[in-house]
Amino acid sequence: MAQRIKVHEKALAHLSKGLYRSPASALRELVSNAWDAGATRVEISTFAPTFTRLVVRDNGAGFDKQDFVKLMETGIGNSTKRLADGSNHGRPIIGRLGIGLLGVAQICTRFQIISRRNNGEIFAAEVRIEDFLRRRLDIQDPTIVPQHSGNEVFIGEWDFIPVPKIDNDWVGTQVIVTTPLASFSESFIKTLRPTREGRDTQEEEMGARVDDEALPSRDDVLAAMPPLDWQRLLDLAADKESVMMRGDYWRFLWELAATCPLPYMSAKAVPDGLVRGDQKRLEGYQFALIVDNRELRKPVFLPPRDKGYSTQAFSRDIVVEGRQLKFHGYMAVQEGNQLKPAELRGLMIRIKEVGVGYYDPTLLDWQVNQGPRSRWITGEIFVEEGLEDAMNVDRDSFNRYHPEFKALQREVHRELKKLFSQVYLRIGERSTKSADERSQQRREVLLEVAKGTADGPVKLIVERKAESNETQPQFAKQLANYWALDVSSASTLPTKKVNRDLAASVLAIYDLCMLRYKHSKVRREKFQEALLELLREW
Amino acid sequence: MPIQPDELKKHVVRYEYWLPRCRSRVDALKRRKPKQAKLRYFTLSGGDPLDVIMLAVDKLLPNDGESGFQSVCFFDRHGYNPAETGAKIPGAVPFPGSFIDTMLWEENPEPAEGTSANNDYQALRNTMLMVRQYAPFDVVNFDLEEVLFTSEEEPPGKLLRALKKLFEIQRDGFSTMAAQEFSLMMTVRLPEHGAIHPEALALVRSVLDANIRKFPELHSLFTWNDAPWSRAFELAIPKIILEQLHATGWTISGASGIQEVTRERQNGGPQAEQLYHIIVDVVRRHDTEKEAEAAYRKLMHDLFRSSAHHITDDSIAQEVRMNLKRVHVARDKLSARLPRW
Repeated sequence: MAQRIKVHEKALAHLSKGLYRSPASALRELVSNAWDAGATRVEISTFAPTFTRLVVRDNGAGFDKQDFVKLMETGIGNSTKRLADGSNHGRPIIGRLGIGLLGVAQICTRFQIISRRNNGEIFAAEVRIEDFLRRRLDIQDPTIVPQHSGNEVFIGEWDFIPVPKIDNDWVGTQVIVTTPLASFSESFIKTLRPTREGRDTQEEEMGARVDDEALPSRDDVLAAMPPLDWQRLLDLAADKESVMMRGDYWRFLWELAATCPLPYMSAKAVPDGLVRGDQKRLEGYQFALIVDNRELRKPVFLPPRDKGYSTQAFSRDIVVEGRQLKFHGYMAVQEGNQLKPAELRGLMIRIKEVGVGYYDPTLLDWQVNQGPRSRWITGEIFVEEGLEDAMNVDRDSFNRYHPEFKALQREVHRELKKLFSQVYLRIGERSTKSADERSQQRREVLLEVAKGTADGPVKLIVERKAESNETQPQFAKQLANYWALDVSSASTLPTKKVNRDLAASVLAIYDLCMLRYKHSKVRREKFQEALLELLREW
Repeated sequence: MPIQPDELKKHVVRYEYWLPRCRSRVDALKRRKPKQAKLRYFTLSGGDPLDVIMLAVDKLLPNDGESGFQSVCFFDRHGYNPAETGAKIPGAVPFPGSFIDTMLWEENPEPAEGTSANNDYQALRNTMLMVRQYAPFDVVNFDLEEVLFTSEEEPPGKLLRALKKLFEIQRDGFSTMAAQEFSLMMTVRLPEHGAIHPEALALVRSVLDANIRKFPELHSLFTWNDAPWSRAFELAIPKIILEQLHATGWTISGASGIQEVTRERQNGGPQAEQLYHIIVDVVRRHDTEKEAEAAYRKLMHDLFRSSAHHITDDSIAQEVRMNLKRVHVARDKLSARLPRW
């Protein structure tokens, strides 16, 4: 008879210290917890610009002392959220493993939690996570992996603490980090780069990071703080190649906004009404995320442009190995200009409204090399059903060989192919149009130069049927009342295509000078004069 | 909701004393740097930062949509989470924890690593570093509303020691600047005569007696037997603050003198609380002993000859009421900028 396989709790204990790749990813998990608890408002205070404390507060359902004790005693990572009907307050349930609370352990070694249910008793507890946890797990440190405890691993300890003063009518959960890790706070302060006019340096443009030991001055820090107005912040972020060039705190805000289930600035944030329906749905959740007194919205904003965007909306409802995979999305291409900031380039996959990782610039490993064109594209894929099994535990990346991911990839690549055919068509049309316009302008230049040189009326012949006995084309002729400049044979000149118009024009003014003026010295002077003027205006 | 009388009395202090003092501070800054003058304002807020909003309404504190109240730094008066206050003055720099505990951080030995106490210690240390980073301040509004001397602690109590530390930070912050001066606005509760540590009472007595000994002409202006306790307190407090200032290289400017204001506040108990406000300009200490002596004599004479302005319900001008309404409107507008679903 086949034997069952066990997983040791050490595996989960490892996760508590190395799960998320950035502070934003870690806090995203607390925001997701609040979402699942029905919160309509989550406030994060990083105490910017000093970053001396971190407070995450929501107005969700909260939990009581007994829930907390149960969570601590039965083990973190034992979520039962999904045992309900799969939705909560009309929202999809995000959490799955019940390890969201551990996210905060990424940025501190201890934190306080205060919570109260509606009409319930408030409680406060302090949670301490063991130092050097991973190393100690590896060496089976008996204080955290006791010999007699079977599979149990103790990653820290907790105590109830006195409840601090708090509004009597407040319901929800509050997580307080009184001492964030120095690496978190200092990095936020030290990498802040001034944003105001005249303060940018070449070093900054090149993306150099500051790693001086000394803290920057108060004035420099304040000048580098992101604006409180979110639209203004997005505008400034788009001024630079990358949000990272503004510092880790900017990046933190940007990443949180990009991945949390938030509405856009407006339904017009993306052209062609591509997110109108999504905006309506997202606003319907009535969920606000406030970080340091700014309300975050999705950081997607494609401003109107003369050339417009090539866009593609899509949706699929397919079955992959017996399971439903349902998604919709859009892609928008800004032809000819790289999208800024770079963080917006690529495709963002959202499962149950929450972004997984960053925008993927590889376009889900699209094998077609688009070169710089891949920097013109942004898009989002909203997965309504499926794909969760393909997501890695960090909720930041995918198992790219999972059948559901493969199916999504295939469908998205189909859409990409369609989109880029449309893009190339538009590029071709635009190139032809701009070449025609340029040609027309140059003809006008030639005509003006020729009029001055001939000192009389001139007509330009650009199209003519070649005569059968014509051996060498004549570019200028004197007719009864005017001079005729004939550049119709330009396309037959034996030189590079790009030079033909210019060569024909030069030959035309040469022939004109030869016919119009008798004296060789005058001919030369007139030709030189006309040639230089032509080149000046070309 | 109608404005409570106590709130109006407090606004008299804000409007008639703090506002003009801040205005003259801004004028002085503008004279030095016409284009870059930004009032660096430090305050202790009790959750409703009306002082900051009043200064913004009067355009003494910059507040734009981009950076908000960036030139304001604050602690929560009670040491709670200042995020609530921060929402009312977005962009202001919040310091977590208790102001007094932060200032007195260095007085305690570092607890063992890995303990909660050590965590708290490190948190205070980090906050202290940041206060130093953001100092100096052009205006320090020490609106603590605490009792200066309690029955439990010998003088100088925690509050005075914290104040002294803040003066040190101010001195260090200003050390490289040409103009070294700031305005100090302080609010404390007047302790009841019986609810004060005997040592503190002795201190009050000794500073007054010392003054009278030094300047016998003041004797006719104050005698222990005739004067109420509040008068003794009003005369002693400036001297006690002055001692802390002197110890840190500062003194009170004789030019603008000492303004003292008192008011009562109902706290639900049988007796109203007595609140005492002092408003002074602080400058670096005079270079010579003679100058210092002359300045001190003038200050003490002015102090003994004047008395604190006591605010009553009848003395509240219509202008104060109007201003408070404007400040409330501005506050509500700021609070409404973020969704409150």
